[in-house]
Amino acid sequence: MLRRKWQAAMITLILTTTSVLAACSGQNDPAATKSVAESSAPAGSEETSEKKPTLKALRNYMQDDYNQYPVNRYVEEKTGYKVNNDMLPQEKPSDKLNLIMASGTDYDFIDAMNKQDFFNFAQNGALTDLTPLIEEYGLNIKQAISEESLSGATVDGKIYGIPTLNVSYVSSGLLIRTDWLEKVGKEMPTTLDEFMDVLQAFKDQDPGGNGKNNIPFTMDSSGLIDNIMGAFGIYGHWNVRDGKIENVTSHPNLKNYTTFIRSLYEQGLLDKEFATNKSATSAEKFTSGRAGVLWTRWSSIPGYDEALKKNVPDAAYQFIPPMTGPNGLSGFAEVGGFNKITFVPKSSKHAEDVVKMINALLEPEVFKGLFIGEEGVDYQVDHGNYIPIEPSFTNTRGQANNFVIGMDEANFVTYWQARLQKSKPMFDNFKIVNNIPKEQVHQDPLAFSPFLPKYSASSDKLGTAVNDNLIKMIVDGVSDEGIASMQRAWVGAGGEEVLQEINDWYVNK
Amino acid sequence: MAKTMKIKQSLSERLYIWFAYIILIGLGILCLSPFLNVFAKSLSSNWAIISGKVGLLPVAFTMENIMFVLRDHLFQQAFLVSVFVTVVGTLGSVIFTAVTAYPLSKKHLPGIKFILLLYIFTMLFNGGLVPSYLLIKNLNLMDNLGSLIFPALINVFNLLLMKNYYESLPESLEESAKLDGASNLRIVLRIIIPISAPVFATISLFYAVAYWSNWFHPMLYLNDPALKPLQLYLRDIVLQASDENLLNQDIDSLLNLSPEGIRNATIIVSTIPILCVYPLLQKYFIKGILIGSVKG
Repeated sequence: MLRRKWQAAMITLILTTTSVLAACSGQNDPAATKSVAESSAPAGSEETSEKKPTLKALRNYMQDDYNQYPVNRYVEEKTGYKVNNDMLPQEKPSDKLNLIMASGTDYDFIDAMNKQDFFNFAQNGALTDLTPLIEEYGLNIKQAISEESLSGATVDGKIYGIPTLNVSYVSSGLLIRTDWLEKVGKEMPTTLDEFMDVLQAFKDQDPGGNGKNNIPFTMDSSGLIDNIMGAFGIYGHWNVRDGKIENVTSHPNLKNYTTFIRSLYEQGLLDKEFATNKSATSAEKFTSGRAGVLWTRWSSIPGYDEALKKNVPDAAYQFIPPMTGPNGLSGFAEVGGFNKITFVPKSSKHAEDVVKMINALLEPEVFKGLFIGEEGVDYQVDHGNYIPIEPSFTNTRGQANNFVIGMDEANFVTYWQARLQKSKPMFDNFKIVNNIPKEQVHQDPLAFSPFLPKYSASSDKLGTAVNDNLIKMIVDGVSDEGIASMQRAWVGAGGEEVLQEINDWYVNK
Repeated sequence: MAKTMKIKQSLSERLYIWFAYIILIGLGILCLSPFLNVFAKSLSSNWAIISGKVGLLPVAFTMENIMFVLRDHLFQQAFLVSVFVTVVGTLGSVIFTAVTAYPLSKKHLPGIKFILLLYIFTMLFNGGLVPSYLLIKNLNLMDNLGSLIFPALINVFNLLLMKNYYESLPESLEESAKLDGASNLRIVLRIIIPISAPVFATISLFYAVAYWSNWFHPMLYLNDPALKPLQLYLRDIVLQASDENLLNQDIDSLLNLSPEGIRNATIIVSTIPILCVYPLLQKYFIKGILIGSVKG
């Protein structure tokens, strides 16, 4: 009997300890890490020296599988390097990237979408200095990428990454129903007064026959509206004045601007519900034919176009060109800057190969093929315009931008426009707000800024503080006290220090 | 039961019951409506969704969204990964939980209390995100589906549930078998396992739902796009269109946004499998939770 009991006890013990171990591994027992040897063999270490190694890459999120996408094969064909791509999640990619970098990594190159991450890694000595490698193997890199761009990826005089530029563009504007304009007998507004006049006509004459549901002008809950703010000389949250950058909260015209929007709201010209609108809600109102003007991005136009035409078959619309304000000002804010910075972690054994590969990709013809495919198959050239051939273009190059490492900066904007041609209404409206006189385009002064830690940390908070207070004033009324309270909220969110930091850089630039 | 109640019901009681039914049905519809809305959107044309025409019924009916999702290579892959993890994980979990819970229910064994305490300790304390990440990494489980299964193999709550169930079994059951000369192993195989069906069913459901809807572990431990399970795939797609994401996205990602109809279809197609499991196991579900809650 005693023996029996012992047996039972032993079996119990063995079973439970195995399962305790199993549970432990789930419950994060740090002791268990010690018992397991580091055994992540460096990729490609066994390959012979003349054979090119497979490179392991960490990319940002895209909807297709990098490794199955045709461009990945193209990269291998043209450079001889097979690339094995992993991908960061869509949600909080920075957190994951930091976790990966902190725990040691075997990636050969990584795309950082967030400049702040890149500079952090570089300052902490986690990245390979690419300067000598670019000097030796990077002829195409030096030709394609401007000094100015490279200096954006330089820390303490050393180039730690290959910057990929974004297209600079005006992203949004005010879409107006041109058929409504005709019905009320008005011309396209060119000044804010005319704009108000048109909205009043939309309200009084109800050209869409919507009755109670008629909305002259709808938008989502934003305080700063392109085109209208431009008419007051405001071009986004940060503006250049007298050689210095200042925040919109201290812009002399901010009160006039807010008063103007407030008057639209008061007179029932601006959607009463705008403060609670999501962008989808305002789009609903416009595409179902209830609204005359919508503030939106041109990139959403393809979907809106189909919806509006189905609901109101004879609808016509376009962006309003820059309108002039009371002081003769007008224009749009332009966004741009770095899309991403590609870097090589110090732990990579293949830094030289990475630079060689990037260099091969930046050979002008190779770059063109990577970016827009093959002429006659994926695109055709018509009067200098690159026109995509569908469906081949979308299927094989629709996501090509994700594979780009460094831009052929002289040409990529021209190539890129092929992407816009896939929807004619989108392309036409893109041109309305982008092909405007240079003096009306105001680039975000921070687009190419170096790493500004305070700005990176608080820019969201600052933006929200400004936006919330603007909306409050539009709904409740504009007063000096309101402006002052917005300024207080902005200072409370750390605005002063951020401004100081930005100007330390800008003034000495 | 129903018969006796019918006889005894007074008017006020009947009114009360009707009232309760109406409220509960109303609440039920309220809970169902967002789901129906997503369902309707998945079967509607994109233009109808953008212009806000879709309520609880599809507008401009189309199967295109659903077909697109079903034909999508990445979706199929993600679906298979999820099914694999759920099936293998659930099987493994039930086995491991059972072989742990049964001995732990035998109070006379030496050291049982201490071992139980070890388990309960992990319920309350853990090392945190970074240590567990390092652990998985050093176990060479990164980019390996094992990272989704091993850490979740035993859930202590389920373990306790099962332990209570075994404790609630009358001791005489085993004693009588012993008197008949059955060995311990024979008792487990011939008596304990057959009468464990309800608790197995409950726990399987718990585990299956947990494995199916787990997105956090895959988000942490998997970087290879081919290994993405359904929930991660879904989250990526659905989050694409959130307003704050639209603000931060670069223009090329905006141009490649998937239409709303397809996002909704993805949600529907990935919800249906687990939705089918629920009604089948529901009767065990309630029974199973009550198991072991009253000790004789």
